[in-house]
Amino acid sequence: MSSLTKLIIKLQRPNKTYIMPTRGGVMYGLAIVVMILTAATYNNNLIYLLAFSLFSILIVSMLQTHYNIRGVRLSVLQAADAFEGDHLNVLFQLEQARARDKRGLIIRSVDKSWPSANPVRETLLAQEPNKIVRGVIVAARRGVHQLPPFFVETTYPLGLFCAWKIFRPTSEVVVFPRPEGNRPLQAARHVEGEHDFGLRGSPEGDFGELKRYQVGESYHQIAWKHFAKRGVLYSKVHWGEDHKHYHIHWDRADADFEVYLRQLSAWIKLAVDEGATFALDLPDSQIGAGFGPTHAQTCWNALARLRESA
Amino acid sequence: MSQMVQPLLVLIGYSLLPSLYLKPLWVNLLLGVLLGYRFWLDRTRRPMPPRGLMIITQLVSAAAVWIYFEQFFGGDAGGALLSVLLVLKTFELRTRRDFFVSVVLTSLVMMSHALVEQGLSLTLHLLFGLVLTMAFLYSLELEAFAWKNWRLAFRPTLRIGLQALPLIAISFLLFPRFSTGFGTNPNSMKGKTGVDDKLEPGSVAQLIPSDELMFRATFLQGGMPLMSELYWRGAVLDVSTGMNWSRSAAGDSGDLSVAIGDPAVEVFLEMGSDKLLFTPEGALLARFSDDLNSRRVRTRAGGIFELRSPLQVRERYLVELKDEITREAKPPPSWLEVEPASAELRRWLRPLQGRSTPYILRKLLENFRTKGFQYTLEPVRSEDMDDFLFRKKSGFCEHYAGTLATLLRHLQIPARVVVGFQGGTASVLGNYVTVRGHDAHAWVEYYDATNGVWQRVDPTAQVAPSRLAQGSASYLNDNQSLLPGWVPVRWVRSYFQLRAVVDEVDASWTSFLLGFDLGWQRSLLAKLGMDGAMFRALPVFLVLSLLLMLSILYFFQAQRREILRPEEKLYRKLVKILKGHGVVKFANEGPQTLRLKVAQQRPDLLESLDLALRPLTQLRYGGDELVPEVRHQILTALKTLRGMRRLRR
Repeated sequence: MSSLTKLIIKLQRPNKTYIMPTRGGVMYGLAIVVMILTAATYNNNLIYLLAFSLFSILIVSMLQTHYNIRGVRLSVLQAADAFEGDHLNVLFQLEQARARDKRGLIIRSVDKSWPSANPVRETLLAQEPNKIVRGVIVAARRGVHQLPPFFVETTYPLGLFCAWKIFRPTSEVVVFPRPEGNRPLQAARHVEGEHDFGLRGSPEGDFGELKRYQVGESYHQIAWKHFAKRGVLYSKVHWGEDHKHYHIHWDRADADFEVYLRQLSAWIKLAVDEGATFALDLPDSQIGAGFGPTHAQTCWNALARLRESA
Repeated sequence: MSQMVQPLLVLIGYSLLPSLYLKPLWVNLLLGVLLGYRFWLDRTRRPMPPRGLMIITQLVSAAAVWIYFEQFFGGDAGGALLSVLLVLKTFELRTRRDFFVSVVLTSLVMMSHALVEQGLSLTLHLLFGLVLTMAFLYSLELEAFAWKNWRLAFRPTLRIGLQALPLIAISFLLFPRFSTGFGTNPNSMKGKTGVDDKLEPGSVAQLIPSDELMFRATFLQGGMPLMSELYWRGAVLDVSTGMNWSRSAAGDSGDLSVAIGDPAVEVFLEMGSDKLLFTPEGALLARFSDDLNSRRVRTRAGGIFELRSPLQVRERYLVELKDEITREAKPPPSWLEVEPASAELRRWLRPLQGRSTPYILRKLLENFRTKGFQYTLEPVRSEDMDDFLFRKKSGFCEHYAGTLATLLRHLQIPARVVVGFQGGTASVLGNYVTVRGHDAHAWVEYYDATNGVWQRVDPTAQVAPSRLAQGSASYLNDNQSLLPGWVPVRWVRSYFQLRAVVDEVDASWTSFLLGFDLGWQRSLLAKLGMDGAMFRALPVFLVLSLLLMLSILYFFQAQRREILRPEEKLYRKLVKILKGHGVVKFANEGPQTLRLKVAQQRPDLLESLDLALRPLTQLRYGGDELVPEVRHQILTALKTLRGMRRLRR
């Protein structure tokens, strides 16, 4: 984004309506100018009539586009964390002050570094003056960020004008490093605490029993045959010697900081997928052993917040 | 985006319809084939032709336009080129922008038709084209179009159209009709009336099957002359070679009458009518309303008027008539020049030599009337004048006029042939005349030395009096009928009546379109009380009125009623009544909070309030349907509430 565009966006005040012709609208306007010049050259009233009709349609469509965004407000309800490069879901509340029909509203991120992934057209009906809509943006960079400003824009009804409002959410969003890298990770015998649950969620060892599948568990263990018969998801649990534990050390060596973070992220993912317990060492802190998606979330969160200087 | 291709093709096809009669056949064939091919590609979901092929097609089409029209600008060539480019553009529709470009090109193509033709039918075509364009843009905006729901696409067009109407009217009336000064290019067009400065056997007869409109004339001072007495003079022919007549290269009449009186006749001349301006007899001058110094019109000897360059579009001119008949000088001897007469003709003329003019005329006309002459569109071919006069005796008006004038000259009476139109079709509703191709005519004028004036004599009146009384169409054979063949006979009358009415509307509309110029604007605004200096500030008024109109539209749009569910309306009514009782609901308070407030501040209202509030809550949050009984109950409760005693402050 050029600095001029940035400045213009910065100057826009929240919840004010702005309106500009679209590129199509500019072309349409130029055609009108050509027509008026032709009409004046040939003293042709029919062409004048055509040109003025097009002109009036342009003006009326401008009013209607402006009307279409009046009173529309946007607020962020919730933003989910995501890996960098992945889609980041933001839940918005789209509402309007008065019960009227508003069509073709598009919610789009303003910031080029947070591009919107295929924005959809939303409709607010008079019967349904507020509505929860989902916006999807692409999380480009790792870290903890403030959500970018969003446009609610509309080109309804003819696409000749674009009216928009800018909204600047204050919520923060965490972008985890992308799990990437294939350096091997050595499993360690369980050391800390030596408590043994007896049950293992890993395919090694003897098959023990089935238990209800819980959301977040590795799907490698799902008993698909049972699912096919009964339609209920079960996880296979094994008895035995297979308890796996990973201790992920901070051993960056000469790897690039971001690349190394991605490798750590990949290891955490590996550990979760295998159902192993894992602990993570960071330059200035340690995260103790734990397992499952919640623990992984904690670790990823910590990775997202890391700064190179530390 | 692909679902928008077929609607776009339909829009383009519609916009190209007038080319069918405005553009040459090969252009239409090319457009039709390309458009059909594109449609077929879309239906069968085949890939587009390679890009190189498209570029070659573009170049070849442009070259064809250049070879045929010898230019790229102007209504015909420019329109043809634009149409071809538009149709070729549909082969590369990838993004929304491509569609937009196509729509804009479509509007320009529609404009190019208006360069060549301006009539009611084209106006209606353009207006409906605008509706289609709006519907297309709307569907494009929603990115949703299905043929079975095509009506949806027209939903916003009515609202936009209605709101646009006042803006269109304001800008059309107030936009100053300035001139860019480029004007029209004077390349000559093929004469359409066929009435020109030559007369030979067959030259008028070939026009007769033509139903094409030549001009329309309105009699401004009321009162229409008898059709049989209405002669539209076009050219005066003064050089005789037997039956054939032509015009000498005589200069302007020299009398430049620029005195402007009240015009008596207003004529809307179709384009392509060569250079002749047709005027009724006794015309003093013909002028264009914006051409005060008569730069465009030459007054020629014989009291006829000529354009310096042919019309490019249909235009309006005004004719002033002479107040009184003035004596004209005796024409020079050149007006008696004829080819030497044959021995047979000299013998035949001998008894008339030296007799008085009325006697000669009587005898000559009597000869046409009584000696077995036939008036027919398809005459037996005569070798020369003698052959016609003494043996074949069969001809159309040009034979008779040419012959009579030559005979008069042989008898020392200055005579000339006038070509133009005779009569026309009188309008049903107004006092104007429509003159078509088949009204073409030729007649004679001779110099009446006693009164010093040129007198008209029409030999056709002697041979075929009904030609003048019933119009020329009666001379058509069945197979030359002016009606399309598929029209059943019993509809003929209604057809002509209907066509007359359509003609009328068309004529008034055309006269408005053509006549609306700076002068008309000035007089219109003068009626509204704007004149002089105010008129010069027209652009300011235009902008101010547009802004005013915009504010009005904006205001009404902002005031548009909210679309509420019935229970929502009732609830708002309830809130309003409670406010009257001093219990104010804030925006963040729900019905339960409101009830608590009432319980605290006005416990006396609580009983009636519950009667209304309970069903309302159930309707709003329980998802019940509002049935008439419940509605009645709520309304009764509201009425009771309203009637309750107000708290004194």
